[in-house]
Amino acid sequence: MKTLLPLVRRALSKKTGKSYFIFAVGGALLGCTLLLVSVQLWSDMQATVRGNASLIGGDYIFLAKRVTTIGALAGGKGGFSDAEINTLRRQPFVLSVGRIEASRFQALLGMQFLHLISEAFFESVPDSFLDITPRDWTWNPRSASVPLIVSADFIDLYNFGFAAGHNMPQLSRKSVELVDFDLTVRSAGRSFVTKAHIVGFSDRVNSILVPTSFMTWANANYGVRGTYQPARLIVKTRDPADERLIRFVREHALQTNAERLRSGKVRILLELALSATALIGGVIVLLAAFVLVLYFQVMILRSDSEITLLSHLGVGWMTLFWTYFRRALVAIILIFGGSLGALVWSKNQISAIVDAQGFVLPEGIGMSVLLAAAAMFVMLLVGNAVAIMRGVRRLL
Amino acid sequence: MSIALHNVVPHPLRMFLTDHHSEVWNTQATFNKGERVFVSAPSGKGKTTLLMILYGVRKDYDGEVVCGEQAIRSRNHTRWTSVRRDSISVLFQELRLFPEMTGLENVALKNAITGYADELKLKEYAVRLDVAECLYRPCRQLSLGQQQRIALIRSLMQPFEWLLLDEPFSHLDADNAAAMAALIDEECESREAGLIVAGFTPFAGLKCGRELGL
Repeated sequence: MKTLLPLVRRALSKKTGKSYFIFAVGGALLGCTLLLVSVQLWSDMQATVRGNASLIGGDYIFLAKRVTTIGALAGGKGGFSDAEINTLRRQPFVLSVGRIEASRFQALLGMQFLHLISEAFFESVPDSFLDITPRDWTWNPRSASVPLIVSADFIDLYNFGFAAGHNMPQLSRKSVELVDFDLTVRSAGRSFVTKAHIVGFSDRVNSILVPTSFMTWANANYGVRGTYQPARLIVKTRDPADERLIRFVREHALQTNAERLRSGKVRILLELALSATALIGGVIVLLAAFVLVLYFQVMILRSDSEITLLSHLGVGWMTLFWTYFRRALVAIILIFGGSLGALVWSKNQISAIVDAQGFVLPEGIGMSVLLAAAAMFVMLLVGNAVAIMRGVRRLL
Repeated sequence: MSIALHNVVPHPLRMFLTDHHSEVWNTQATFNKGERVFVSAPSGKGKTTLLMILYGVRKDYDGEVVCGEQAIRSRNHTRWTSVRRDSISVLFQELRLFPEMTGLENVALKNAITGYADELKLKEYAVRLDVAECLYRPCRQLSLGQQQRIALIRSLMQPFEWLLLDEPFSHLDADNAAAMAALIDEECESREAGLIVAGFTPFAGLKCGRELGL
């Protein structure tokens, strides 16, 4: 003869609203998926921004002391002392600090055959802070020519601004690299004449750069004497939008390049969008959980006379509870199996898209996602268990 | 275990009992262990109410019903569940079978709760009451008389000290009533169980020790 549970299920099976059930499970599935995917994206974004990869904006920022009117009138140089640089180096958000050396000699840069000549100003940064490393990026006193890296903005300014307005030909990067410049380095009565040529264009440093070896040599031989402090620093940071970094900049009256701020803003917008998605997902999950709970309450109420009769025949409330809770358990496992599957699938899709853009997302599903999933699992489980228990016991 | 009623007044009968003498309501009444009692009354005097109070379904009464040492009002749900599994069995007046389930399923459900009888015994009862072929049809297709006999077989699928029968022969012809009375007699005899039968007039085929008027 049959055992009890199948018979109890049979006695209560007459009235099941399949459409309610599908609606509730489908809704919960959608909500859970939305929530989990946005939490996953959020955690990927955190990991990416905090790691080495530069997904949005740069990891490099420039720091300078803010120029104030009073300071300028007082003739202050506004440089960074060694102590200040060391303080900066010790900050947890700083990976490394590079001094930007400025030329302290007079330099004339010209193209003799065009009779063009201009005063020039150079800076140098340690090579590890450059975004490009051209082949010819070396200099020693026997070199025939000084390599230069100029900001990519300069050639754009010339091509789209100056050349168009003055009826001059536009220049490609390659053709600019072929031009030989005449460089004269001067100081009180002495001068040094050499050639210079552009070897690359930097998107990161907005200046005219020479190799550190040339800068050191020229400053030593032709530079103005006296102690010198760098006016600008280049800082490599884990997270250009780090709260502590922003606070440090504000507290020490520093100014920084706008790029970092922009990336920070992009990130804030992205975080907002992801939070909104997570919020919507959360609301859908709550609504779906509510519908699921209602479904079981309706099921129990529809079978109220059967439940009462079963109880009068001596069926314990645990058996009645389990008959319904078993179905809730199946629904919840379906919801979580489905939404975790959808999460893995969408993670792969997003990874493929992001890979094509040249970025790499962290592998696998994040811990925070699993925690969120576990929290929802427990919420649905407990919510339904309580609702079913109450519904059944009220009829006994 | 004997059952004692101390001044029990069901709430719906309060008004009626002010000028009416009853041998059960609003007095001291005792059902002794193993005793067979016929409770007779016209409609509306609380026959079903009495059985449902004893079975723990109705709790809307004043006074106390004491079973053994304990007032049954204090039993919780778990206690009632176990009482309904092995102390008291009932044949409901309205039969209360699951209409979509077959006769066999209805009976097997009760038996699955208690594990009291085997399938052979169950079918033997069905043959004796001439409802063997009803076991395989949904109960909604059965006549009330057939349903009444299936419901009785269900009530036998457990150990009991008291068997409560609410108008047990109401839908049966004389032959079937006699067969059912014989089966009830045998079962109560072998289990040394008490019997409380509610109805309009006593059925000659089922011997009861005394009669109480409501």
